[in-house]
Amino acid sequence: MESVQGLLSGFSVALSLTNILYCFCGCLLGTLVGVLPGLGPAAAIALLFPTAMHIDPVGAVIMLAGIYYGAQYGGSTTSILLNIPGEATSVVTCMDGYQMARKGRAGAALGMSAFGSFIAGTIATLGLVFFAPLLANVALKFGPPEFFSLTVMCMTMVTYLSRGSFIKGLMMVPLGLILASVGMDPHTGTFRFAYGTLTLRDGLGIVPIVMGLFGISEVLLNVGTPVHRTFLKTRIKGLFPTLRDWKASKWPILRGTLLGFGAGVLPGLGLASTFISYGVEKRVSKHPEDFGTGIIEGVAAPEACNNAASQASFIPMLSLGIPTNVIMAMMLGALMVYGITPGPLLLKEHPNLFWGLISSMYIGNCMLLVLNLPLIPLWVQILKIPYSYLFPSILLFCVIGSYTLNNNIGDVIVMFVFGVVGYLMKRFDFEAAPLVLALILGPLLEDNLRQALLISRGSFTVFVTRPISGAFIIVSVAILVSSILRLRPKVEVEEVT
Amino acid sequence: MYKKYPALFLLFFSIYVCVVSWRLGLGSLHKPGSGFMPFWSAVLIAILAIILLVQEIRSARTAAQEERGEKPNWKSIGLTLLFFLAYILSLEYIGFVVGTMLFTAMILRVIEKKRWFLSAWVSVAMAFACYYIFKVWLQAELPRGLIGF
Repeated sequence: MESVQGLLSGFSVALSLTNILYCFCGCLLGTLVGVLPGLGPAAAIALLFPTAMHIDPVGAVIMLAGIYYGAQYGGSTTSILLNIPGEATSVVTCMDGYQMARKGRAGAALGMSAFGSFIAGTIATLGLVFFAPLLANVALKFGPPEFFSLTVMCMTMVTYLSRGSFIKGLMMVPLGLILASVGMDPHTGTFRFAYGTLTLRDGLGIVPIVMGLFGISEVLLNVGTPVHRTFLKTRIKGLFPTLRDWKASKWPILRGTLLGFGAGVLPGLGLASTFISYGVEKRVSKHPEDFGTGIIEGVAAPEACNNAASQASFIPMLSLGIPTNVIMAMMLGALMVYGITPGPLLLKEHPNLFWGLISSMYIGNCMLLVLNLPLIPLWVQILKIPYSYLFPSILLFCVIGSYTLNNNIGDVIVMFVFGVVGYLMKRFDFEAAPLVLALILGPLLEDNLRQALLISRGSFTVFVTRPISGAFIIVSVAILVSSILRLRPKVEVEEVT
Repeated sequence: MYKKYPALFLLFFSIYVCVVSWRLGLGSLHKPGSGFMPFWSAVLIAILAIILLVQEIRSARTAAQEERGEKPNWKSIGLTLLFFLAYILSLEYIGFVVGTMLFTAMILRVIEKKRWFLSAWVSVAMAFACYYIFKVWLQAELPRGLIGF
């Protein structure tokens, strides 16, 4: 009952004219960056970060969230029309979406992916309404040892599920922790790794690093090896799926939604869930051999899944203060700039923000559905902008985004350095996600570790003897052991493109 | 054969971090000091780097290394980075608008081999569009330079 009341009050916040406008801007921008390969929601959120600081926290969070789920809608457009996934989570959509487009059914594929995303987004938001407060209540009982163990578990899971070598992924976590320790130590006041520079004294900013690792590095990768895009010369017609399409897709959408929702709550599962969802559909289907030839189920299920997962990932971020992916880490960073700490107390201390954000997701989903279908021709036109003009603009945006944060050229230099680092990481198959997550969770991890050790008078048993903390540690150890025994599921992304 | 360089780099990096963290003070378990977290993180990196190094050396011995994907265009990457760094470092002296114009024009002309007229036209348009959107509309602060904009 409390949730329903909260939601109603949230709607009164989200339906104010300014917040509707912010939601609209977020959704539109999100779709745009989702459409454009090479500029993802992480870089877009980082870019808008400084601008968002000028507006009130509720509006800012509504806009930034809109970018995230809007990108999930947009990502499918390029998958279907170009066989290039705009977002990593849309990779699976290429398999059947592009084949449908080749058969002249691009309209139905685009339409179903929009409707599927809408249905999944709406159901997942409902789930968010009920689960987030529940989890927050449980988390109120957490102390420093529990938060430390939870953070450790989150990092291990993200590493476990990242692509490529587990050792390489695991190395990124301590590297992120070291980067997080740059600047002033809040416990003792000493400067760590600052070398007397002002920029490093304040600590490394999240925004310049994310822009470097995700924006600049992608540009360098594409400058190095040009992307050849082939456009399908089909007219996009019949965006509304037929009754037959609906019949074929209704269960895949529901299954995709449930799977995505469950996966979104857990750290690092967002990308893998779309692959699992595709696999599940193939297994339960009466004609599994048709998958990959361009059937609507192959588009509906993963699209529903990725949207549900993006919505569900807000649950641990809002109620525990633990982000499960890079975007949520950015959102956490944004909230912290306002002095708002997401976590169990968020619901009590900032109910307007909490419920306003959730309600805005309903509105955003409706907007995206209305916005997306008629605007698809426009997105296709935008995709035709040659990369020659696109990449200098991406570089410019990254410079502006990192400069305007503190009006400090030092931040731009940090971004440049991490751009080069990010490029090398991509060339040598090191994942950036565990690094960014560790960078953002680092201060929280260190603080909780120090507090827990202070409470336990230097004994590490406190992490195992307390039941909840012990459970998190057991899961982390189990993950590590299974990785050593090579039981890790493989997420093969390359084989699709 | 290049594959072992990242592991080697990370190994040296971790040793350096260990030394600096040691100087910062590890404290005690009861009250960990400023160097505690970076020190143990670096130790973990060092261990993993050694494992990775052994793995890479072994795989290099057993199988011929396959180069990943197409060979990158080092000249374009190098030039892009050079122009980009020059742009960043000169921003506070020549200002956002002039810097952006020069940077975009160089990228379009030298790397993308567009014609001079087109490069100039696009770069002027881009610089003013960015200035208008971010400075005038979103009221963000952009580097002014010595000429004031």
